[in-house]
Amino acid sequence: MSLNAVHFHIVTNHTLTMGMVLGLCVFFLALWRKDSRLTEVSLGTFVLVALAALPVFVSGAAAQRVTADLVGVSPMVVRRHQDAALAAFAVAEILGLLAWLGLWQFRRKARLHRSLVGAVALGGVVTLALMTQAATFGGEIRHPEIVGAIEPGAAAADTYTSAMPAASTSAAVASFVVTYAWVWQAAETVHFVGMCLLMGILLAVNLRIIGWMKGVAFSALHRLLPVAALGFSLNTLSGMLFVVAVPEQYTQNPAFFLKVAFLCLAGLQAAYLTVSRATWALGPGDLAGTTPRLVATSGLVLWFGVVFWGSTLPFLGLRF
Amino acid sequence: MSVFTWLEHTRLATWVGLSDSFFAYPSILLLHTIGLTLVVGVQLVVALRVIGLSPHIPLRELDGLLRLAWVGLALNVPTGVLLLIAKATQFVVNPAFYLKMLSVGLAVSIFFVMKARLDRRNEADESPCDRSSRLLAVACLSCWLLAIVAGRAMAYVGEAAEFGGV
Repeated sequence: MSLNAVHFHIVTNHTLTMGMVLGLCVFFLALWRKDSRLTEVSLGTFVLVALAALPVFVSGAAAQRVTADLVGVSPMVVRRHQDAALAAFAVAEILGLLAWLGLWQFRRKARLHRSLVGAVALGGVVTLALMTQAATFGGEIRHPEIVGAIEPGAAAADTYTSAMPAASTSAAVASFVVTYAWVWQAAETVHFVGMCLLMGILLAVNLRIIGWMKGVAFSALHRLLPVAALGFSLNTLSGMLFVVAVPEQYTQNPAFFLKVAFLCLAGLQAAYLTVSRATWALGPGDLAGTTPRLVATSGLVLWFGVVFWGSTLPFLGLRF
Repeated sequence: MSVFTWLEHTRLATWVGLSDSFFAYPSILLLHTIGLTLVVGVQLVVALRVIGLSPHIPLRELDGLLRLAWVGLALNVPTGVLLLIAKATQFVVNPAFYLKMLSVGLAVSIFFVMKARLDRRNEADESPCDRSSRLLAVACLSCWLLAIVAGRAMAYVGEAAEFGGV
């Protein structure tokens, strides 16, 4: 499992920076040409990057354990990458939320609020910068040749040790969560509240598409989606506190990887609910087509799947 | 021997609390969590409509969805009892447990009062709700929030601290 996580991390992490470059190019092109369709595409790209960042970040935490045992890999270099990755991840998730809000607003009003355009532009540039930094530090873990004429192995590690800042963000976050018991307990409570927000709204929206409450226009339920997005954000934040604080509890547990996989697909499904024209057009009494109904059904399976893996992961795989 | 000690030593309670089976504690906790999402999730949607966040949802259309909330409650009463008897002697002295029961009872009662009020007024479907109904909706959601906080605190307060804690 652990070795797979390293491979997975190395294969997928490049898609994030590529996605950000692509998304930003399309976003600025759309601004320049005042093309709303292109704007939508770029916002969708940022949402995809934010979702893809979840498994990349988690597999990175798992990869850290493996590299810790490798000769010639400096823990300092790994820690520097981890800190940069944590910052990039946090900003990418904020950008994902802003971009999602943009898509939601777009579906309702066919235009974006100016402040949101500015926030996405700023968030996009900062995310790309931090991701590039994380990627560069990450590359240095196993590519000593790119940092200049130094000997690979222990010598390289020594060079970095002197350059390392004394404090580590990841370690500081971890010790904050572990030292104060109330932080963990509060994060768990927030995680349950977020789950109720997310599940309640998405249950109603997906059931409407399947054919319950046919008298409700889809747009009336679409209005509630930001509450689900709030739940998603609360749970990403609280969930990442758990992973950063006690990574081995999660990265050594196959059930957790399944949870993240379900979460990514479920996130895609929620993005579909936000932008789909087919569902937006459903007025009072209208029946959805086969495709939207299949997507809605799979959404319910995926979201309850996330709850399943989340609730049972302490008992499956490596027990804790 | 107190009734709680007896409860905790019944075969059912020891199976829930001590069995290594996935179908014991893990599955019962999972069903309790799914029930939570159904009860609170559905009542949240209704309450948000009443508060006015999504005024174009016809109130009566939500009655079908509301059945799921009662499914959730029907799931959580028996699973809650099972989780309770497994650690009866600890939960019976746990203040968070009583706070949770009080909040759940209040949340469900307030919801019933709000629903009855809305049904009685029988207003045009897409009209905004009156001030009292909106206040009841806010009170209902606040009680659910308190119930979740207290429910989580049960694992950390008093003698139950090692049960379900980190």
